Amino acid sequence: MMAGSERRAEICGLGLVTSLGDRLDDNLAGIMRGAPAYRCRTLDIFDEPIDVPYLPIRRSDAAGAREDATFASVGLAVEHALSEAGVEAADRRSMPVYIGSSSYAIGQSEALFADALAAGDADALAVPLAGFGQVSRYLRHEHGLAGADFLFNTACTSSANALLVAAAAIEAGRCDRALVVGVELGNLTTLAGFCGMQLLADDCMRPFDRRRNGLVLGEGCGAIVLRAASADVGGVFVAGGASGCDTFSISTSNPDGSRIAAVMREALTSAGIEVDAIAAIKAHGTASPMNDDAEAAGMRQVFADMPPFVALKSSIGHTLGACGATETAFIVAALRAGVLPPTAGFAEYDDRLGVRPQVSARPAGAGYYMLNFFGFGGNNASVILETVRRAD
Amino acid sequence: MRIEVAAAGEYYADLGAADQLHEVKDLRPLLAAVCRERFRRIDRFTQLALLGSGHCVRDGRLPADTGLYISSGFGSIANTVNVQRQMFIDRRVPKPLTFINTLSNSAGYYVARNLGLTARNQFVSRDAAPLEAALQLATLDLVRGDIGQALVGVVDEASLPLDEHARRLGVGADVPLAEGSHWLLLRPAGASVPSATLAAVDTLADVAALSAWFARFDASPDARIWFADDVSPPARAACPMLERLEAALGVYRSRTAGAVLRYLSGTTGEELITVVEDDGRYHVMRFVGRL
Repeated sequence: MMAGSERRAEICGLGLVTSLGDRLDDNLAGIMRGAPAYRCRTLDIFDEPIDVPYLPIRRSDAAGAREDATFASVGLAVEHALSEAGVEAADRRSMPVYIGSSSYAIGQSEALFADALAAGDADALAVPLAGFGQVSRYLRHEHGLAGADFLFNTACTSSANALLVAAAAIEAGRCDRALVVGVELGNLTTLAGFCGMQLLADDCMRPFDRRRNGLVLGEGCGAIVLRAASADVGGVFVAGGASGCDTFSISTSNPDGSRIAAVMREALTSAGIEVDAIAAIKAHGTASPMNDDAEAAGMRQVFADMPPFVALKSSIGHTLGACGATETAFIVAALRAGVLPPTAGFAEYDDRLGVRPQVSARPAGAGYYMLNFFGFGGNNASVILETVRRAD
Repeated sequence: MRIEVAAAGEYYADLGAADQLHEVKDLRPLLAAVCRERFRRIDRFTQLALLGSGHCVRDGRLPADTGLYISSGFGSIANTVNVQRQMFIDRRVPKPLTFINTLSNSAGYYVARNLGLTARNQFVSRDAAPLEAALQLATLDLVRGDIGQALVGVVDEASLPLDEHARRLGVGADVPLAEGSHWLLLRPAGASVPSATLAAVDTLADVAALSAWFARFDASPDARIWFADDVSPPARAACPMLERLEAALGVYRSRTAGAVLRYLSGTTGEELITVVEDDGRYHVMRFVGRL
């Protein structure tokens, strides 16, 4: 992304469905409140049932949990974003769709397999919904979004990568509008997998806190509409970003923070700005001991004077592949309101980390904001947003 | 910008029909020839990715600004099947590495580590057109100058038992199956004329757009061949009468990528056009020249 290029990717539509609600204003109000009401989910399918903290989607229409209802949460977020952006039905047909998810429709596959086993079906098929296309097909059939679809599966950076590629496509003139969707719907594979890796918190998330002991998983759908806009209009723009690979370990970033620092520096270069131009950072902040170590080390390497930073996962849970879209939508909604949201769950400073997230909301004005996302498989992404005041 | 196909390589295996075959080849003995280090406890999907990419990048060296793009129709399906069976039949929590390998970008991690890559590392899919999605991403990054080269691979494994795999593919147990890992190394074409280029990769909204796309070409159809699976009669009518590439491939999601590799390394035709029909849309590619 080139600074000063005439075509810029403006964020012009948002939709959010998370544990805080299914409307943007409910979500913004919820994230400003801070600590969420964690739920407990019992994984009773195993010989020894396991209780895990969890933050499921909260829908005001009390929708159910199986395929139609859960994909409907995606549809709701998408419709809100398209409506705000003023995308007409006729324009949807050619609009490219960039989807990021860790698990796509694996929950629906699990449900079908479990139902078949329960019914005594001798031919019960594990993973009957193979592939990644179910959400995309749903959006094509039910919401008329028939343009080229790109289905990212790079763990927790999935929809951050989707956002960066969509912005690049707009800047390059490949499209005038693009839809970015992050989807993470409840499924046993993810819950049990994270539990098996001993990455889940006992009760709540405490990002960058001395007592941090893991993460809480959350469901979420985020939708973002981008459009080509000239540089002299106000709004929130994707000003730059970078995506890089850290081959230190498949499940953790290099704890010295070097690769995280490298992707942040590359993002700054891509936006054409110096490090002191960053007004605030949205950290990845998983509250897992090693990942917060690496992230704090990376931030300290890049920022001699640490700007204010926040972590959002302690309010909505870790929405995994969706977090690029959900957390970007939260930050954009907050920036439009002129505030930076607080970090829930932080109380005790860890002098080994040497960083302290913002625990109270604070005013946020025009300027550059860095949003960081890191994932399994050594995938690191950093997004730079710029807020420009509208002339009015 | 013209995009040069600088190299290509693959691993491909015909498996035969599901009702006659009950195992797939052990790939571990083949990995030593392409891997710098011995990767332990990697799944078959990753093994295929390492083999195909290793056969494409024969000396194992790429510049630091090489972007990695992996695609797949089904991803790490065998591992995901095993995890679901462990949970729902054996009532066991999946082991950490087994769970991590259900993430398809695990393969990208190992390929990047094997080739010493640190730039962008994407896993992107599309139901019927995984190669096309990856190429659209790679060419965008090449055109913008974000990367200097792109290593693009499409990988699809067969999971056991094969009769279940055939059901997921929507084919009968008597249909020959295959698995493959097909890779291209792309870079901006320099001043000299490259032997092979990727001339186009597009997604078209309908048959009318497909007809208009074909109408752009005025070169002799004698030199052009095409490959398409299961296109509908309207789409077939929209296409000019081109010689069909007989790729002799079994059924798997990366089949179009297999056809591209066979064209690039073959002797038939001077251009290849591929057409994939998907929900009324058409994903098309055009390769000119051969390696």
